[in-house]
Amino acid sequence: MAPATPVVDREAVAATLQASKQRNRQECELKALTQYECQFVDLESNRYICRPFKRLFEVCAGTSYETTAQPTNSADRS
Amino acid sequence: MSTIFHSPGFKRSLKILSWIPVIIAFNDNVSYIARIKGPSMRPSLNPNDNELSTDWVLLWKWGCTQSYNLKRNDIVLIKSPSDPHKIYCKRIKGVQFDTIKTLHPYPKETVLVPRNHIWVEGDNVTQSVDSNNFGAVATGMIVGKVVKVIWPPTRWGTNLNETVGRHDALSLATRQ
Amino acid sequence: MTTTIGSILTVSSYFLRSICFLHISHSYIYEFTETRGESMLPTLAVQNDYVHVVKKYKNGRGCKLGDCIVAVKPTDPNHRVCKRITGMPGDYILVDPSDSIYREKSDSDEPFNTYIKVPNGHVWVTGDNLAHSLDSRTYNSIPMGLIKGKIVAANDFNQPFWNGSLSNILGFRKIQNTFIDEES
Repeated sequence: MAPATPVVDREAVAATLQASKQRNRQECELKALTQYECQFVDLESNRYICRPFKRLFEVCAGTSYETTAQPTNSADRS
Repeated sequence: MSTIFHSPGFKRSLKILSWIPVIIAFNDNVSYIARIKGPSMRPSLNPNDNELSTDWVLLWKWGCTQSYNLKRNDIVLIKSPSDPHKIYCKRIKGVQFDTIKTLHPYPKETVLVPRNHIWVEGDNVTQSVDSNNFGAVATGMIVGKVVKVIWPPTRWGTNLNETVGRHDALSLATRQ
Repeated sequence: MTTTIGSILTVSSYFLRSICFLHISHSYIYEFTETRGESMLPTLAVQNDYVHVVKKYKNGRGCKLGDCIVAVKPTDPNHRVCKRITGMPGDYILVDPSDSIYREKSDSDEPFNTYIKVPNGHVWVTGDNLAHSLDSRTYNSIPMGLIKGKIVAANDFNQPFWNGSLSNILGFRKIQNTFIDEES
């Protein structure tokens, strides 16, 4: 069990990110990490289908801020 | 070439070297001697400020991460949750499924210790970074259990449970 | 009689030393071990997949976001899990943005609005298969002290010995860090 971790909302994270950008006066990198959601279609033959789920992060001065949102994955899902 | 490999000195040193993994494996998994630093377990360990007379303790490691081997008031060494390269020496104040009344920095008043976790505190409650700061700790983080003080000789036979820190850590619900 | 006892002692001493050598190299240098479970699909197969674990990364030393790691399960010291690091100390990450199947029905924005900051000395880990994985989303971030090593490669023994679908020996492939630059 990790230390009691408070949950924060998007506005708070955006504000921290903004502050970090100003403090470090540098361009942040946009990075992506792709994970999946897999469902078995046939258990006996172990066949499964995976749908990619791309997570976006802005990396500023070594800290990553996730910016994944509804639209960032919509293209893969049509 | 062949003279070096067939010389008795070479063979002997090879034989000695081959025992090193055995010693390391024993120290990692069975037993080890550790030095206690800092005042957080005062007065049970390191009772005075003298830097030269810090306590050395015998640690038992075999099965020390198993919940059935852990009891309240056992003294354990754990890896610090906030820095894996630091080792803390603390007393178990709650085992799995206990309800604990927490102290100041912890944001909630009581907490249920999850399965295979322990609640640890220093005996010197006011000078200790412990579960009240970082929450319950997974038993997988335990390095070993303190068995007895082996150095300095004046401290041989010290009863480690003479003082056990806070007495009101367990909430009433668990005690019944 | 004495020679029998002597040879038994010699054999068991060799045995002890080899076992301990193996154990030490497994815990500090390198381990080749089986994995099971669907939580790391499609990176690791459900069964018969063996991973190469480098122990230099023990206790999270030198681990980065996007690395695949082996760690002791926080709720059971006798089990180990393979997961991917998706948050390093200090990072702000979404707790659970996945579950698109249900998402399409409800328009709730909450999954994209629930962040946590990963505490010091901890990492946030998730399985690559977000649909079937018990991970940080359930048991919160894990302390780096539980990390046993980093997975650098794997052998899939479901593949034929030679030239399977991965066109390699015994389904060998490297397991890479998947945290990459996003080209817009």
